Amino acid sequence: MDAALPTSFHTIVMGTGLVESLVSAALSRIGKTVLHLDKKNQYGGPDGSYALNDLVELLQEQQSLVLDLSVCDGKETIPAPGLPFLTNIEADEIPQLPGNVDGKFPQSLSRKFCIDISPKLVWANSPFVHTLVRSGVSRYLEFKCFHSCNMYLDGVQEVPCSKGGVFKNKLLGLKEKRGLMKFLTSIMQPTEQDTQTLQEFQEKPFLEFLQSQQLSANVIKFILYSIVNEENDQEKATTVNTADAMARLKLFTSSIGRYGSTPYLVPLYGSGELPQAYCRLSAVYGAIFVLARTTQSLEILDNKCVSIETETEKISCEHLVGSWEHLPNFVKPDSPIFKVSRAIIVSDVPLLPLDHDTPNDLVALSIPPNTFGNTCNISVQQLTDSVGVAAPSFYLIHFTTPSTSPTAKEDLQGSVEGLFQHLSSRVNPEEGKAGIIWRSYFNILDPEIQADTPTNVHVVSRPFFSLTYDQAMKKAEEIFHKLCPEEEFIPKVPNPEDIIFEVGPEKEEEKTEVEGEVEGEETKPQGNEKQENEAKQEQETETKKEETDEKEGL
Amino acid sequence: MYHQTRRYRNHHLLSTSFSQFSVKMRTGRHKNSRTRVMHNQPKTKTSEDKQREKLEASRKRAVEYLDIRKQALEMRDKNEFSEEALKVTQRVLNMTSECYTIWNYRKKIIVQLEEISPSTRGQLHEGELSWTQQLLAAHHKSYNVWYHRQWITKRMENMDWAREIKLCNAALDRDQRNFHCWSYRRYVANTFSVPVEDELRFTMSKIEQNFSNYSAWHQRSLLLQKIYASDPHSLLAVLGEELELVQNAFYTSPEDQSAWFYHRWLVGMCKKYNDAEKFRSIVEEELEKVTELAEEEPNSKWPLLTTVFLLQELNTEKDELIQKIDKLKAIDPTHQNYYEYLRTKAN
Repeated sequence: MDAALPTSFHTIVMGTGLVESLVSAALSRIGKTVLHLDKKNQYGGPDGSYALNDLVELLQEQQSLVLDLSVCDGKETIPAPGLPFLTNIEADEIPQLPGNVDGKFPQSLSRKFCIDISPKLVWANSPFVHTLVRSGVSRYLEFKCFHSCNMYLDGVQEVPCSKGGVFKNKLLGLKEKRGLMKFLTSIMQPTEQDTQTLQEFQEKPFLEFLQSQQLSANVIKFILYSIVNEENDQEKATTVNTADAMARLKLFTSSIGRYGSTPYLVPLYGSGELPQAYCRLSAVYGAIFVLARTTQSLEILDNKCVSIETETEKISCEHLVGSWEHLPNFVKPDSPIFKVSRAIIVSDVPLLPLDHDTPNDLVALSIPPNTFGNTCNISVQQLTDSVGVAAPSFYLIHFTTPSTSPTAKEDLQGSVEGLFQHLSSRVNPEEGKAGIIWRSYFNILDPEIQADTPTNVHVVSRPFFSLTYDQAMKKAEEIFHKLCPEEEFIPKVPNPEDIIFEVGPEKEEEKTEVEGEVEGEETKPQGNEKQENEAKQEQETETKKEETDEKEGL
Repeated sequence: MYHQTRRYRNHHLLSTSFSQFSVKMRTGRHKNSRTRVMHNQPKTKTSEDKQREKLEASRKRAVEYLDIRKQALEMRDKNEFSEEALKVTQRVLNMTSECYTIWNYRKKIIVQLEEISPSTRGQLHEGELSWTQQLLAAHHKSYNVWYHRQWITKRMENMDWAREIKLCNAALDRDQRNFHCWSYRRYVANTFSVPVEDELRFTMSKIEQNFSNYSAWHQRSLLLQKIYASDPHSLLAVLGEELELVQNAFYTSPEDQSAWFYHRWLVGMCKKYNDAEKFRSIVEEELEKVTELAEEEPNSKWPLLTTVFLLQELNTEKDELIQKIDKLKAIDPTHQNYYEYLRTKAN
């Protein structure tokens, strides 16, 4: 179904990653017309979640692309097929499983997986979560809390982050526990003395501050690498300043107990749901979404992009926002490209032995620097079917760390094997417990953008390592405020039960209700030029609805 | 080809503000209606509007309730014990679970129905169990509902106690100190011989979840007594482990009274089952630990109070005791009279 699109929009957004989706939702929400395109037929791009076979296909496709930066010429034509966003890909062969077809995983197994390319941690008390709730987008999503936070210290140790955690911990002695509790309380409810001490240490290294608090070496390790979650290498970890680390620590302690005993949430069905939810909000307020539409060129006049040209039409716009994967011509060719190292493991043995009384399958783990020869702290997540991202009895384990070696495999292989060595006692091939079923290593790229892009073109890249979504949201807000300086970024949604409805004579075009799926945020944009859009909008929202209908048999 | 979709199933949801996660169907949204819009914001009700609506709704409910209750009482006065009567009482009790007159009437109806058609006894009881389960979801602290369930289980022939334990687990997840549920759990455990070790493990998991759970500690004390009633010798080793456990609890959180109460009980048990000399050495060890904590936390009442109790067991010098009691009075003025009483006892 290829209805003709309107020929002009306030903003065209290219790419359905998280930052782009946030911008799209923010613009749409305040009544701007938005056309949101993606050259793929899936949402999310590097922020998306993929089924097993889809991931394998993606990795193969990315491997076939060439990282040829000579195409980054800042000209009007958008190079195709463009640049890869994943490199140094090394994936296992598909293992022999019953039901394999054409050398791929059995479809019934593959579709139960939702594998994130860039998983992060959702901190319960973070600005990102507050925006989710305030905007009502949280109503499109479901979350669970991680069951435990752990650190690798001669074995998987649970991080004593809450009262219960400190109590249960077998590694710390009584006095160490008291010391840690006192420290955590002084963070949450600082006395005058505490605030004063903190003032003195503001610019000094955090390590010095911790040592001044009479905490033992083990406790300090727990704090640095699991609680504050310093991704950096050991040297940087000892020099991070107190002010920054304390902000993290406060976020950690205030996030515990908000939704569960750990501070991290995990979205059901993968982190790819997050950009989709914002796309949904955007669509509800009138944005038009078209997937599998490639933009071939831009028209630039007086250093401004006035229109884009796809395979089928030419559409004019006042602003253009796009991810660097969609606008590779604006990538800065001579700058170092930021890389994140990733490993994805599908295992049939869990990291922690399963407890039948209390669920403990959702595990967050950090591997401190120099544990398995790794330079930086490694963030590990184990996810299971309890959040809908893996098949039952399988465990999806993600490793993420900033790149310090040339390839992801060099950064992570030692830790992957070291960790599985540690659980080798539970691997038993006779019982069908093979350990690692399939693994892949890859680097995620994020280049810098040229400084002299046209003034109304905003290219999104994420050249920073972050385990949270707040940085991405900040970036989206920055872009939004460049486009609409006076407006509020994703304002609070009114309670649908409070909305007053009038029954009256209607024009057909004004109905934009997505039936049964979304609660009444359908504010009607004012103005006559919108009327023609309404009919098209309904068609597009229907498409979106089709795409989000449940798959049969699941 | 298409991206993974979300499934609108009712997964285990978290509590508080995220609990409205599952997508709700729009009710009462007329297809031809629209919102009044100004500045892109829909018009919303004022708080007076909302208050008026609430008042209206509650008046309607009151009228409905009085009506149905009158109906039930009339049927009772006529000694009607039919299925119809059962349904009417159900309607009353769905509106409020605390009308015990109607609960009594319902019990009488059930007794009659059991006699009239013994073949459907099982079905009747099952119906009661599933309905009370629904009620408990809404009123998990209702005396009447828990008692009715207990009454039914006593009358059943094939009681599945595992199911009842599961229900207790669910209720305790919701509120860990729900004493109705703990009592019910004890009733089930005692009446249907639930393995004590399982129960002990359950208390451990509840304590690990949140060691501020006084009820779990209490349950633990009851279970330990039950397990080792016939074998006090093995109890001594267990007491040692329990002391270590409770030390972890009060070192983590000295203000938490649950651990201190359990500690006091443990010391009492040690006294009961140990000879005087062994007991003395245990008390001295405990005293060392608690005094250490009292030194670290000079303004916390519990380490100090426990020191006083332990010193009393050791028959220490009067002056030392008085000194500590005076300090207690200073840091905890709310319980002054109690400390005064301790003081006079010491003299």
